[in-house]
Amino acid sequence: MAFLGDVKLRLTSIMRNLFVVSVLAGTSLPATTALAGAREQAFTIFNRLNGVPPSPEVWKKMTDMITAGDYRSAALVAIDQSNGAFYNVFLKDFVAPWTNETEDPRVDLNDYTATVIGMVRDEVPFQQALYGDIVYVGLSPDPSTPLPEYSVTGTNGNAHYQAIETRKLPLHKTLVRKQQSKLSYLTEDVAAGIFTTRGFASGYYDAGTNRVAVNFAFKTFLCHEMEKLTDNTRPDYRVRRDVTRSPAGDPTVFKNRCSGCHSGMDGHAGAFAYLDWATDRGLIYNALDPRNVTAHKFNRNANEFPAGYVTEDDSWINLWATEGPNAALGWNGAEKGQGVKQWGRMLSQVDAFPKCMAQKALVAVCDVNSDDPKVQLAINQLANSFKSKNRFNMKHLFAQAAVMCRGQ
Amino acid sequence: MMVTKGLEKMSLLLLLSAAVACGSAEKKKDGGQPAGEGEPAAETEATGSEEPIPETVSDAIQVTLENAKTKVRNFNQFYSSYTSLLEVPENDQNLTDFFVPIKTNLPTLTAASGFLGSHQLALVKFGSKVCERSWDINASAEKRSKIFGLTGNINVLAEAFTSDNTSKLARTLVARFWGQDIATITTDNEHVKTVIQLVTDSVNAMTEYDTENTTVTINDATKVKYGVVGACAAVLTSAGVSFYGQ
Repeated sequence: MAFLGDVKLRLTSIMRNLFVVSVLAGTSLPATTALAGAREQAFTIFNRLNGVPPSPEVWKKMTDMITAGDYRSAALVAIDQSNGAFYNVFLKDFVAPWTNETEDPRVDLNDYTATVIGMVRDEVPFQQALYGDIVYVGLSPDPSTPLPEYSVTGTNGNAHYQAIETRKLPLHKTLVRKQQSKLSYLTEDVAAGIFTTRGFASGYYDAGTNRVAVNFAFKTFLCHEMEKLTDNTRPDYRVRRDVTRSPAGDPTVFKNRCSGCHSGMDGHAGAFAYLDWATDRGLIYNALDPRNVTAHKFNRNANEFPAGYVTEDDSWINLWATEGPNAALGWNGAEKGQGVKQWGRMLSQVDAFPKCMAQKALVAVCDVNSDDPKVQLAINQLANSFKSKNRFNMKHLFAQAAVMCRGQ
Repeated sequence: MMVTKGLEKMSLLLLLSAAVACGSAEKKKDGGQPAGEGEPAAETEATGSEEPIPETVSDAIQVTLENAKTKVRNFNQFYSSYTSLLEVPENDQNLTDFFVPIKTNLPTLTAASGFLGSHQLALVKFGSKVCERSWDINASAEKRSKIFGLTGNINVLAEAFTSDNTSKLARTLVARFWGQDIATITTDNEHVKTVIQLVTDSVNAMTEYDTENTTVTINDATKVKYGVVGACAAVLTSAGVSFYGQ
């Protein structure tokens, strides 16, 4: 007998009361610090890391650890407890917005999200997410009902991950590490972590000029959007032909505004020149045909400024590395290179990368304002630890973040 | 009395249970365990980002963020929370089918400030469904005793909702959903007992319930089920479960 399906609900009065409930719920949020004992702190840490309440057994174990002063171990217990909510719920929601321009967490699981989740679970140094020959796929627990095959190409390649979700397979047990070069036509020297996943390709290589890939890479991994990176002191010789140099007939507009982003960004975007996405083909990696350079999507709309930069290969250059305000980001890697793998390695060596990961972890776990000076201090501490002590171990980063906002 | 009347009372119960949750949160300010027990010897504020990198992780935790905000669960978190609290398999087809249209009405983000009345309505629908699935799936006396606290011959109304059993129901739900032995939540919560008594009383008084086209006489087993599901949904969908963090 269906409790809800058959019974007529007189919702009007319920709605009225429930509105009051939600208002009251809002008033229940204490603005000041609550005093919390070990048991409350364990409860808080677990909830913040998992988004679900703890089981009595895990709760007690964490409480005992906290009573003994071992906060880190307690947080790690919360992360690796048996139902895997940290991976299946929290981390999936944390990463899913990275995979699409609208930053929507309500999107299907894909190889981008799964790879990040797997790397966190296995404590793989997170720099490798940006250049490693690595991808996580699912392994069905029942061999008689295998998952659809994973593929970066074709129209149905994401069916593999959709099936994992539909079957509600636990990600912490289902995901296994593989090499992209073994599962696709990408070679080892091309496979570049999340940048050569189907998920990233569908989000950022579709049509356009691949500049959006640079923008979202900076936003996701350096916590800097193009608006914050604008610098019109850089030379503009890498700006492509599709950008007019005199918008509305006024060349000063280009110099004062457009070049601020394009001068640096177009130099970086060269790394993505061989990458594309088509709904019916999936991820496309295709070296430029020197006989047909003008047809390439990087070289279209050439009439805007025919003397602009012509993309002939996947070389890139970092014009922000040593001069201008963006040098403060701390670019430690190569200043020029070929392809997205080298570019991803360069990105992983930027000082802003560990700081950005620390900021994202802290904000996600603790829901704090990253502009607050004390939060900035916490972010710096986390970033230092993440980079130097924990060797880019994201699992420990989340654990430390949760300890910071456990309640006092 | 019709089931719909019972549901209206359930909403009143929700109101009260939310108030209880509010009360518990407030109590934490002065009624919680004093800091110090189980705390590290000293929590000092760091003074700058130029400090040496600490040798151990516990040393690194020199900043504690007392201004961390309370969060609300999002759609995924509600699903996982409710199913784990009520021991319903996450892949229960009946539940996953029900969840598809509901989840669009649940919060996307975990910022408590974004929680709306419409979210609460969707929660009540979904919470009721999970409670019902739990009652159906966990049908053994042992399971129902564990999850809902009821003992004895609970198919007989007079035995199911005795004063003792109603107390057990309230205690069990509070302990299971809000957290057993948290200093600021008493499992012998008189407010919860009172409102659960309201639900069970109203279900007791039912003689029939109406469907789209017909009226159906209600038997004891169904009354017990509705009473438990109503009480369960009231505590489950309250602020004590929906919000977390401080």
